[in-house]
Amino acid sequence: MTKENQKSFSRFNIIFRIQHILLMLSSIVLGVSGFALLWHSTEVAKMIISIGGGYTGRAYIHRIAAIILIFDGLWHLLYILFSKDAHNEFLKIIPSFSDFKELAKAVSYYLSNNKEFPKFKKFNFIQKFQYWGVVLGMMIMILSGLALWFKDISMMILPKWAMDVLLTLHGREGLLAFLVLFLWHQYNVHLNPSVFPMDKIWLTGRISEDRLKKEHYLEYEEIIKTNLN
Amino acid sequence: MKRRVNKNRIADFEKRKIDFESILILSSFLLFFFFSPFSVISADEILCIECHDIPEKDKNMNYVHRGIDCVDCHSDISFSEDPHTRSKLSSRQICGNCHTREYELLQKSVHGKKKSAFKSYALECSDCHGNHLIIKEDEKKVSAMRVKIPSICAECHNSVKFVEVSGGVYSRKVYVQYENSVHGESFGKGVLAAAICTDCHGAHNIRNPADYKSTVARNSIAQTCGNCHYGIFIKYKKSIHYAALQKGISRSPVCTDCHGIHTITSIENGSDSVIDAERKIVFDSCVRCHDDVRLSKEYQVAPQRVSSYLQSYHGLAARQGETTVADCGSCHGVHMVLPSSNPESYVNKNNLSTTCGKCHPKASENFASGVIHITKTQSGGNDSEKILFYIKWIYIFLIIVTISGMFIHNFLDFIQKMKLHFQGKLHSEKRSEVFYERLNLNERIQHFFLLISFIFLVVTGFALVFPDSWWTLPFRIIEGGASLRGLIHRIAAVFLMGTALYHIYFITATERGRFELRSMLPSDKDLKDMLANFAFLIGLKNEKPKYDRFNYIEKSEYWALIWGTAVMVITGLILWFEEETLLFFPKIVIDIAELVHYYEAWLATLAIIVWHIYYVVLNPSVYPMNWCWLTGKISLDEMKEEHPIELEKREELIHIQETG
Repeated sequence: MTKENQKSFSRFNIIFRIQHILLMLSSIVLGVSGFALLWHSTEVAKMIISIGGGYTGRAYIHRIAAIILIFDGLWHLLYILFSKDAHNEFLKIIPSFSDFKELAKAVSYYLSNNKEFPKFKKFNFIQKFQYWGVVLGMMIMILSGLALWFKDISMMILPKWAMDVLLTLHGREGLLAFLVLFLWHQYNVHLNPSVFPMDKIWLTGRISEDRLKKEHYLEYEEIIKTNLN
Repeated sequence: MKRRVNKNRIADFEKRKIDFESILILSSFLLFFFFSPFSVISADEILCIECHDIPEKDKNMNYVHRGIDCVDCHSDISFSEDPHTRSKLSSRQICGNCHTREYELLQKSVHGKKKSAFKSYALECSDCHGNHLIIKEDEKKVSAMRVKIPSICAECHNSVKFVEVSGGVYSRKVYVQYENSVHGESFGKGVLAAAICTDCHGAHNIRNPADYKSTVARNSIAQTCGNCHYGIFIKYKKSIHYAALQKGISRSPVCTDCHGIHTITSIENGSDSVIDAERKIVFDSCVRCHDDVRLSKEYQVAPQRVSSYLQSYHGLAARQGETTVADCGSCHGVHMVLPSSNPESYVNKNNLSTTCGKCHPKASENFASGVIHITKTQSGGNDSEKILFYIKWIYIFLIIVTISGMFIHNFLDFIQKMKLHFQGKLHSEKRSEVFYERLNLNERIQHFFLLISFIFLVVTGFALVFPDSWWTLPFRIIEGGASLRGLIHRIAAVFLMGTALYHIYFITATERGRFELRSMLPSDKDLKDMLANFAFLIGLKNEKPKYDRFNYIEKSEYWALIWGTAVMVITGLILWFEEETLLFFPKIVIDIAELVHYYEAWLATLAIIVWHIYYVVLNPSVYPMNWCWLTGKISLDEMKEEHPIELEKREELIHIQETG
C-alpha cells in the first residue's frame, strides 16, 4: 500500500511525547484514586479503595501520582521557557483571534452554510483549547491539591470556609477535567472515525504528508516554503 | 366556695365608716345600686373602687368571682394606717386558700418549684389566669380560658430567652411547631376540641417528661393521646410495642416516636395522599428501629427486615414513588403491630391470604407457604433462601465466565486490528462497489423491533432495581413516573414477545426463514473455526478461518439471544401475572423468577455491549458502524474477508442459474 512509502513529518518530539505519557499516566491514577474518594459510598469506589490498600494506600497513590504530575508540569514549563525549539512550539500554541475565526468557519462548515473547512496552522483551535484547558486545570488542581495536602500550614493562613471551597474546587475541577478529557480528547484521538481506533502521533511523533496537508495545510505550506528556500 | 370573714378587717372598716362624707356617698351608691338589677357589688367593694380603678364596663361582665369581696383575697391589708398597707400575698397564696387541689398540683409541678435556675419561671396563678377579670364559662359551656391557653403558654415557651435560661434543652419554637400541626391548625380554625397544651401536659400538674408521673412521660403518652384518640389507643394497647413498653423496654415506640410531638401533621396534610403520608411515617419510623443492629442483637427481633423489604419489588417500587405497592404498615398494620405468632396478627399464617388479598385479590394459601422477607445474601437460613443463594451465585459465575470470555476474545481481535492499523493495512484505499444482500427487509424490521424493545426493556428494567440513581430521576420526578416505568416495560415486553412469535413463524413457515435457520444451526465446523481463530489471534496461525454465511460469533450471538429471550419472557410473565402463578405454585417460584429475571438481564445487557456492540460498532474494520442493519447490504470486499464460503456458494448458484 502506498501509505507506508509516504513522506512523514515530525510533529511531536520525544520530550513532548514523554511529557504526554507522564501526564496521561498520572492523570489516570489521580482520576481513579480521586473519584474513588469523591464517590466513596459507591460499590465501585469501595472496590478501588480496597485494591489500592484502603484509605491510607489510596492517599499515598494519589500523592505519588500528584508528585509525578507536578514534576511533569515543571519540566514542561522549563522546557518551553529555555529550549529554543520548544519555545518556538509554544509560540505557535498561544491563542489568537484567528482561532475564533477558525471556530466560526468550522461551525458554519458543519452547518453546511460554508462548504470550505478552515485551513489550520500547526495547532488548530481544538488542540489549543485542549492545551490551555490542561494548563489551567493543572494550575487549579496543583494549587488546591497542595493546600489540601499541607492542610496544617494552610489552616494557619486560611479560614475554614476557604478550605471548604478548596476541597469542593479540587473535586469538581477534577470532574470537569475528566469530562473534557473524556468527551473532547478521547473523541478527537480515538472515536473520531477518521483516526479510529487511535491517532498514532502520541507514540510515533510523526504525521503523514496526506494528513498534514488535510489537517494543517498552512503548516504544510510553510514547511514546503522553508524547504524550497 | 368558702368565704372567710376576717374580724380584724371588719374592725378596720368600722373605723373608716365614721367619716360623714363616706356615709353620704355610700348612701347615694346604695340608692343607685338598689335600682340596678344586675348589681351585686358589696358595700366593701364600693369602698375600694372609690380609689381603685376598675373599669365600668367590666363590672357588668360575667366574672366567676363576682360576689367575693376585694378583702376576701387581699386579706393581709391593714387599714390602721392611711393609706393602707399593700397586700404582700402572692396570687398563689391567695387563690390557694380556696383552690386547694390546684394549689397542691401546681406546687409539685415544674412551674411550682422555685429552683434557682427557674426562679423567674415559677408561675403565679395570675400569670395565666389574670388578676381580677376571671371570666365564667359562656352559654356553650366553653371555657373562655381554653381559647387563650396556647398563646399564654407561648409567651414563655416560644421565646429564645426561655430556652437559654432553661439550658437550651427545650424545643425552641415549640409554639410555631404546634401552630402548624394538625392540632394547632384545627384549633386556630375554631375547633375548640382540638388538643391544646394543657390537654397533653396537664393544666396545673405539668411535669418534666422525665418524671414518670408526667402525662407526657413515655409510659403515659399513649394514655394521654388516647383521651381523644380512644379507638387507636385500644388498637395500640394490643400491639407488641405497647406490651414491650409495659415490660420496661423504654425504646419501644409510643405515639410520638412515629407521629412527632409538637409537629404532628394531618395524614391528609398538603397535597400528599393518605398513602404518601403513611409511607413517609412508616419509612421514617419503622426503619429507625428495625434496621438497627441493636434491635436484632438485644431483643432477637428478626434481622434484615428492612433491607430485605427495600430490595423486594415492593420496596424498590416504593423507593421510586410508586404509591400502590405495600409498605411496612400495609401488611403489619400501623397501630396494632403484632408478631406473626399471634393469631390476631395481620401477618399470621392464617391471616396472610386476607392481608395480601387487600391488594392481590386472588391471593391463595400459596402466599402463606413461602418466606416473605427473603434475603438472597445468606447461604444459611431456610430452604428457599438456600435455593436462591445458589441460583444467584451460579448466575454470577456464569456472567463472569461468559462476559470475560467474550471480552478476552474481542480484546484479542482488537489487538490484531490495532496491529493492522499501525501497519496502515486496516482500510484498503478502494472499496468495491459490488454489494450482496445479507439481511432482507423482513429481517431488518425484526431486528429493528428487537433493538427498540430491548433498549426500552433494559432502561425501564434496571430503573426499578436502582431507584436512587441519578439516571432514574425522570421516573421519580414525573407524576406517576413509577407506574409509567412499569407500563413502558410491559409494552416493550409485548413488542418483544410479538417479534419473537413472528420470528418463530418466520423460521418455520417461510422458505427464507428455514434457509436462515439451517445456516444458523451450530456444527462441528464452528468449534474448529473458533479454535482456529483463537490461534490466528494469538499469532499461531497466519490466516483466519474461512466462514460460511454465519460464523461462530454470529451463531453464538443468535442462540444466546434465543435462550435469553425465552428465559426473560417466561420469568417476566411469571412476575407479571404473579397472582395467577400463585394459584398453582408456591411463592418460591416467584422469588426464583425475580432472581433469574434480574441476573439474566445483566447477562444479556453485558453480552450485547461486549459482544454485539463490539462487532457492529467498535470493531475497527466496521467503525463507526456496520450499516448492514439499515441497508441490508454487504460489500464484495467484506464478503471475501468475512464469508468466503458463502460467496463461493452464491457465485456457484448464480453460475448454475445463468447456465441453466
